Amino acid sequence: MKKRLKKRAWVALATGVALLSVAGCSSASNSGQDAQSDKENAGSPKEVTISLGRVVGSDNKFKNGETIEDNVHTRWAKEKFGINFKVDWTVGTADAYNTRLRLLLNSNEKLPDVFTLNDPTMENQMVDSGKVMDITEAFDKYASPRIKDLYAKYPEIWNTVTYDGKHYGLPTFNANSSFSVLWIRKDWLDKLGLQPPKTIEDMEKVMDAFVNRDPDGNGVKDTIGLSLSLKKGVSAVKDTFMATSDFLFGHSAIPTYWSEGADGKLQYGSIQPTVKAGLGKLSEWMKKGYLDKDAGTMDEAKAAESFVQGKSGMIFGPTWMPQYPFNSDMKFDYEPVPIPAGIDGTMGFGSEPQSSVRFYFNKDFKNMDAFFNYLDAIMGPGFYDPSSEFANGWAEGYDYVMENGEPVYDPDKIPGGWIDVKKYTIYGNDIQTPKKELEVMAKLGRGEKPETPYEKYFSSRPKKWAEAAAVLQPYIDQAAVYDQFTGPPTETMAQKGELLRKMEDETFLKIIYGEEPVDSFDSFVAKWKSSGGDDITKEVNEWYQEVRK
Amino acid sequence: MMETKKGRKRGIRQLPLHMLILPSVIGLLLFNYYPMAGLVMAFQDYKPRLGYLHSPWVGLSHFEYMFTYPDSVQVIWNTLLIASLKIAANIVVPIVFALLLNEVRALFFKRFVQTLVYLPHFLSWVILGGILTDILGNKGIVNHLISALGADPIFFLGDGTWFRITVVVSDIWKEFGFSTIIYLAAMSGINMSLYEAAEMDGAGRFKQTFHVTLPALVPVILVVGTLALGNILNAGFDQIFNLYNPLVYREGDIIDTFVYRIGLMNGSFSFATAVGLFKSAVGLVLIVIAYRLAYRFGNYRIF
Repeated sequence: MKKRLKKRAWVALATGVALLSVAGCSSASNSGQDAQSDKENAGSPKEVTISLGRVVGSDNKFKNGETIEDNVHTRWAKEKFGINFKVDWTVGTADAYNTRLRLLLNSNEKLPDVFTLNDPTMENQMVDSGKVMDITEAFDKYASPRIKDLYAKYPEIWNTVTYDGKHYGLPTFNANSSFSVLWIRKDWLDKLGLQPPKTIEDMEKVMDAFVNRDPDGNGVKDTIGLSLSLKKGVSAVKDTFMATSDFLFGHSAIPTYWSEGADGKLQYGSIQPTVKAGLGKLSEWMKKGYLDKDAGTMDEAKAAESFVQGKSGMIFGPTWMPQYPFNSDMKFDYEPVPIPAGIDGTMGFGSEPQSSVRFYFNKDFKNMDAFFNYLDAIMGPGFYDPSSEFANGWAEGYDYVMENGEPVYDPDKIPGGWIDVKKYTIYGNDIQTPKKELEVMAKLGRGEKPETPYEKYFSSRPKKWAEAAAVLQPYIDQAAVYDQFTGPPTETMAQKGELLRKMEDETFLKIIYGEEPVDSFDSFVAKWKSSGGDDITKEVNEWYQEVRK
Repeated sequence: MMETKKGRKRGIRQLPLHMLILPSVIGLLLFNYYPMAGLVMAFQDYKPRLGYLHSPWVGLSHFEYMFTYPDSVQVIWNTLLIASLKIAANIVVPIVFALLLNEVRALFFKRFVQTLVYLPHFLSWVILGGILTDILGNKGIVNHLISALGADPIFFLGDGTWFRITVVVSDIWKEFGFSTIIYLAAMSGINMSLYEAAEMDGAGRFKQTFHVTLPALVPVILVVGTLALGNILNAGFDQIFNLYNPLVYREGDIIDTFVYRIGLMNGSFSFATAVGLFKSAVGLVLIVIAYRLAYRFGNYRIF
């Protein structure tokens, strides 16, 4: 009995091995044939291989037996540019992707030809290791004209990847199309005979009326003027993505942001005098009941609830709020209006960063020309180019179908179900370009007829979103304040950054809650400077000089 | 002589059986002991690209940094205070509750209550954090009641002292059902004849509880208490992180949230490892002490 079992096991094992090797052979011979046929096909581009690491999470759906390595998108890339995407490894989450790259960096194993990173500290280590390519020349040589124009228009985008004047990676742009507008209760304004606020003084009048003149008419003083989240300190979109107060400080300084001062040097927003004046206002507003007493304990979503529930008159945030957290149960009239001018008389808000993700390339990677050709093609939708072959979607029969000459995105009409093909691209998402989405949305918001495929596609978005875009577009360039320090944390930042930030958040909140007088701001500034802030400012400016050389 | 020979023979015969635990031993070494080699990071200026074989040694400078950091004392004190309160309450409350529940005769009611108090254990702090912010807010249900009684509303999550109380009480509320089950299980193992004998001697329910049930529970209490001491420097990251805010940094910031923020700022592996090592070392010392004390005074050995 025992013997027979053993025998069987061996047979099974042998069969398994045999099957495996057969499979190996067949795939090898297949690709051989492919290569052959491609060679015969005159005029097709030279064949190149780009190795990648891929994130294949639970939201990556496949149909028709496709895989991350062989699917409608990779076949397109192969046919069009002769690119073979070779997947070195796959992981389940974006976190695991970073961890794997970190391990590869540590263990001196081969990095993929092309990969993305979103953490300046790790990017710095990557460049330090000498394993990634200086792409300065390749960019000049192979990037398409429209890509070159785009990067020339926003040269500061290179700062994160610049070392000794050379570019060690390719930053991708964020959409920069959503921040920020003021959402206000139109019905309350009308009822109380008020106009949307243009200045901080207007704002105070409106808030006072919203709080004290019972705008919801229930006879109870239960409304607040402005929904605010202070759980992560007095911050802007970098830490708190909505229900912030950064508009109050105007254009000259945004708390937690580094921006260029009159002398051309970067200065830290939170220690500027306008912030003291702004904190004074917030403290006054808290005392007068214009703000929710719980603002300090609430994150963005919690803070937004008061507006959603009709208990708050205003909330400051991105244009897409009608998608989330607003909903169709809000049976009252609210509208987006331009942000009022801040404490210094100018309009300003903290902007989202220009770039969050950067491409890096293995220094042994030889096919930058193929990469840039491919990049230009997949950036078609990001340029909102109507002639892009992806204007309607990434692949017909996967994320859309054509019906009477029009693209249809209804999942029920797509055979085999809707597939998010942009996840198959090497970026795993749309690569955006600045303010292009805003342009399209604003056009819709002005009530113009949708013409391009993008305009038609976006017309299914909430109407109020489009209206907000139309409100935001005229002032976004004038009001947006960028955090201009985009390098890895400096030495003192690494040591003292947490301490300083904690002190800042603590002091600011205690001032707002009236536990400390506004003048304690001055002692905070002095302490900030002496406990490392001055060193950080120096280091930040050294970096700034370095990247701008 | 005869005995040992026999023994050896049996040992050889059983060798294949002993070999069966080999995979587990290898697994244990590989996954539990081998990674400890990474602790050397705590004494290096760890650079990922150099690995821990080539990163420069910096001795105890990370520990020095940890103890000279202006906020360290405050943070360690917060951690100790919150954790000890939690440990103490998490021993007393479940025991009292288990004793009470043990006296309940209606089996259905007993099971029902047991399940009910066990439920919060399965909720994550992310969800509970949102719920607590709501019910403890200035317009929340708790402050509604307090106002109705004529007192001033309490800023539970924004006032330092109340924040600590809130953290401990909400943690007990969430976890005591889980510990209760352990004690109930121990109680069901007590020999019924002891109760009968006590009753014969004229002991009432109270006397029975104090002289039969509690002494029988002492070993379990010692085990739970000793093991809990190892967590003295874990005051509950999930909970604090979801509840705290700049208003209560001074009273509510604990080692874990502090390290988290530092890690966020700069991804400093070495420093995080140093803090982790420090926490484990303190935990180990406390466990050893508790073990010795339990042995000396309770004459009880866990290991």
